[in-house]
Amino acid sequence: MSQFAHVRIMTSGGPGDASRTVIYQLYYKAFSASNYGQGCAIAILFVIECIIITVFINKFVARKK
Amino acid sequence: METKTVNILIKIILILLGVSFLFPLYWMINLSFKTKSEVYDNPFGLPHQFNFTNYFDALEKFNFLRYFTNSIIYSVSTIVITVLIGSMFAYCISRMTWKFKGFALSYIALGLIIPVQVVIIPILTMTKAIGLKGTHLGLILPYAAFSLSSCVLMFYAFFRNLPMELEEAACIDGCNIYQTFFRIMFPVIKPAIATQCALIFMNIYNEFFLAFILGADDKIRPLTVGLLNFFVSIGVSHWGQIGAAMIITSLPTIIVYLIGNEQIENALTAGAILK
Repeated sequence: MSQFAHVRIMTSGGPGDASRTVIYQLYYKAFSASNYGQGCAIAILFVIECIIITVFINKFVARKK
Repeated sequence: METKTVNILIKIILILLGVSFLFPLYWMINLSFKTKSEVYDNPFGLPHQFNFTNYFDALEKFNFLRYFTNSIIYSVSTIVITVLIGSMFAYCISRMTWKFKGFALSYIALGLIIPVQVVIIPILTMTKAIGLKGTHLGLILPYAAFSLSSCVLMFYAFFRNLPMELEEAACIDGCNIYQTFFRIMFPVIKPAIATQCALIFMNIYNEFFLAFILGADDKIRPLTVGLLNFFVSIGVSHWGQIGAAMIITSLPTIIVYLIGNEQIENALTAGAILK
């Protein structure tokens, strides 16, 4: 989910913004466009997303047991 | 009869997978021996003659030794800090009874869910505020903090399975709590420590994101970021030198793996039976 290095090295998020991941978008907003607030907002959304997915996976696995 | 064909099919698929994993490596080695024009004339075949000039040029322009020492400094100090603090903390939550024990454990476990990348902005502002930006410590501390959670959980699982009698014997023989920990418990969890060392070393040595953002200074760059910078500075024109630099960079890891591959494989499978 939090892939960054490959995107940075291979395409720098291009062409346009087609291959940006969430984390690359965070990096781009926060450090290239120096908009820390937006970067933090992306980070928080990403955490929420991760937690939701984790909960789903946990439930799925628990049901299997 | 049918199982035989299935077996052969599986083998063919596995061989194809293996080749696809090995091909970049072969290509990298191949590139490093080719001259500038030969890369374009003959991209896939073996080089006409093996010349090592690429390596010398790459070593001249690519400050390998500095980046390598930086990488080693990061991984070794992270290992020391994490193992020391992590084992003590795990001992605390597995063997002592105190009020917020469960809370502390789940707080540490939270570190597994939150990825490093998400908290990069607070880390950056914090390191700037404390004045650690541009020093080695500014990278070591976040590394240690993020290695801590998996380390503590693993040690916790290890400590839980140890018999209580060990400590009782130590107590009867007159050890205080620190002596019990360092003389009795620490040697007992040595296999877990070795596993953690291998895991943390691989993580930190290959780490890119934090180093890319916090290690803006050339003096504190680890190998991964240094390689990217070399890549950018040389452009895409001279693939031979890039290949040589990549080979030089990956040599230490390959050597470490050849020496300790059993340990590393044990480390990777130990993570699976954590719980």
